[in-house]
Amino acid sequence: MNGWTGTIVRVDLAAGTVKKESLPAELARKFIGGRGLASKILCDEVDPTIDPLSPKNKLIFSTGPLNGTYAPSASHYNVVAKGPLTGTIAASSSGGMFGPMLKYAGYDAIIFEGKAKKPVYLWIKDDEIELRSAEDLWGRNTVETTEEIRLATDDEASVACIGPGGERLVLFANVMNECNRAAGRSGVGAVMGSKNLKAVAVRGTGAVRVSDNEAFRSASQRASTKIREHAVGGKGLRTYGTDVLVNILNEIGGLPTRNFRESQFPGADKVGGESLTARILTRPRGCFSCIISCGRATRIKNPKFGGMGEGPEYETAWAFGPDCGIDDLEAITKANYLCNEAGMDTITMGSTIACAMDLFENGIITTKDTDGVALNFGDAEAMVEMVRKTAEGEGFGKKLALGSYRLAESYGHPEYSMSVKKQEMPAYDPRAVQGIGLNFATSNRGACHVRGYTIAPEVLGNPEKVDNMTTDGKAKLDIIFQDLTAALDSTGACLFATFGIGGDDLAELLSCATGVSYSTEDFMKAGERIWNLERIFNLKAGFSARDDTLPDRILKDQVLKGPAKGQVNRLGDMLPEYYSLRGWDASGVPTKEKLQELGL
Amino acid sequence: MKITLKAFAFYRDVLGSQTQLELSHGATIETLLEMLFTRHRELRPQVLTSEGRVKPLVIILKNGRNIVHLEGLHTKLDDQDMVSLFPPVAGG
Repeated sequence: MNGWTGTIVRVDLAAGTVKKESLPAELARKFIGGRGLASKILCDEVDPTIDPLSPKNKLIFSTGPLNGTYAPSASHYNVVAKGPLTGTIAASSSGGMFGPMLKYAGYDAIIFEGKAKKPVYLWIKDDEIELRSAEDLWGRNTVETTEEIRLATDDEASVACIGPGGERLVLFANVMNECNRAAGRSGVGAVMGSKNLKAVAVRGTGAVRVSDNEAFRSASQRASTKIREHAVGGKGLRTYGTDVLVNILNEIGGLPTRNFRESQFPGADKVGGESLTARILTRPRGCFSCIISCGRATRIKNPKFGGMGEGPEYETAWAFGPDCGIDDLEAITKANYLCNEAGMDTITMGSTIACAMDLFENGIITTKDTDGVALNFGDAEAMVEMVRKTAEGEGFGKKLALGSYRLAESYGHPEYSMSVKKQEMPAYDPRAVQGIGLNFATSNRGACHVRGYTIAPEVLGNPEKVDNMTTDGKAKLDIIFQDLTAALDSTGACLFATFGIGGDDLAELLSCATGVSYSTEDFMKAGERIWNLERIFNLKAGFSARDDTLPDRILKDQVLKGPAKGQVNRLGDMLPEYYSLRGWDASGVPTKEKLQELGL
Repeated sequence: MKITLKAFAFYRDVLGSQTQLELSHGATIETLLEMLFTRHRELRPQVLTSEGRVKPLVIILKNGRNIVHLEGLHTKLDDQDMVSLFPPVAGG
């Protein structure tokens, strides 16, 4: 095969065995790789009704055909399992070097089954694969784990691991690679912890063969040029990072503040990308083959929160910042470092603390619940302390480790959780940006911006501006973005590549790499197939149209001031059209005709 | 009338983060931009195309509303209005 390596590794953790299997060509063609391929394997092999933290769940690391090639920004692999935070299918994407390195070792994917009796890690050196004891690594954070495994194996190994968060089954634990790159959201790190799997380390010395080298080189050069010449991909993200969004969302009245009670934050400018660049940035950082470099290497000067590491990105700055009423950029950055070290999702962590602050300020919880810490909005030290408690499994941190929905529900007030399908909404108020609300409601892994990033047209005007305040045309817009993203996540490309290239470019790259002819329509159809596959898994897991909704605060409580004053999200105006355009019935179930059309 | 201008990202290098501008009644976004271009000639090609249209991905807000959804460059300004100016940037 070209583009694909043609080999999948299957690891039975209970038996301690490893075997190699061939990747069926038809499966590869229809589901591409990455998110699509791994989701198909999960759907075929895992009962959707299982407990996600039981040995019956499987954990699949999956690359795409473009990983490891010289296509621009083609670093992303996916980690797929049934997610413990949501109970939905979970597919978490991460950049860095891990995906390409796995390809260089000769593998498209690794399937982990069962549970190891004692902590282990998987070491892959090209053809040689072995399970090694990780008993000495258990309890170590992601940085220590990465360093120790490299010392024990190869200093150029790429290490994807869990920290104490995954070990303690924090429901929003990440898999982290290269210390700071996160396969986040939905808790795939907890699934890894439940299997006693501490890490996967890979050193590959091979190469990825493409079908038509000359055509692929030309297509890659054209794609690179488009990204470089794009105003955002070429300069904006490198200079300011993703955190530059803070001020834009704040100015349009769409920056969720104090657990979505308001949609503008007076201290926004102190935590935005302009301030980050001026105050704590040491240098931009990029993943494998990246020509964008949105990553932020940073250093905190304030000794109270001292340290150095990576971040924050926009979502992180928002979750620990405006959503908690905090304008202290260094405290936000410290919280980010702690999450990276523990391997925890920053969006859910910050949003859960915001939820706790909301519960506290409304007298539902008191200092008796919070280990004596007054959890008021705006208290930066209390926020950082809550992150530490969660990472270390201490006191109130054990409740925070369940995410905002289970936290609020345990006190009889689930309505304080700003989540969909138990996953916290990211940093866009759906009352001010209507289409993203529909995307949050329908996302197959709970509320998520990177399932269908309609912020690009609704706020940023990319590729063209559509009105953020209206619902017209949003169903169709969401579907296009969701399908495109599902296909893109399966190629190995970074979502930010789409700030420059589109489905036609990706289809061309894929065709030249694999030798399988993908038209733009084929590419989008693959995305639609993957989206429907994920939907079917969720329906079988017990989800229904009732779950395609938003918190009451978003549907019923009007924004009180600012540009979005008086707005609620009008999901009911968009959802029936969305189902209809998807070829689903009124209950949100794909019709037989649609499934036949998609070959499912 | 008094207008508050807020600039972000690269535009801050030229305009600073926030300034108060005095404009005549009846002024539009275009009037405001021309005033800025008079003071900062290098800004024009960053904001407008050679045909005088707002460049793709440049964001101009009047009181938080993108002028694309108002009357574009002909959007009228009122006393105490706030105008926000963003170069092409993105995140997620």
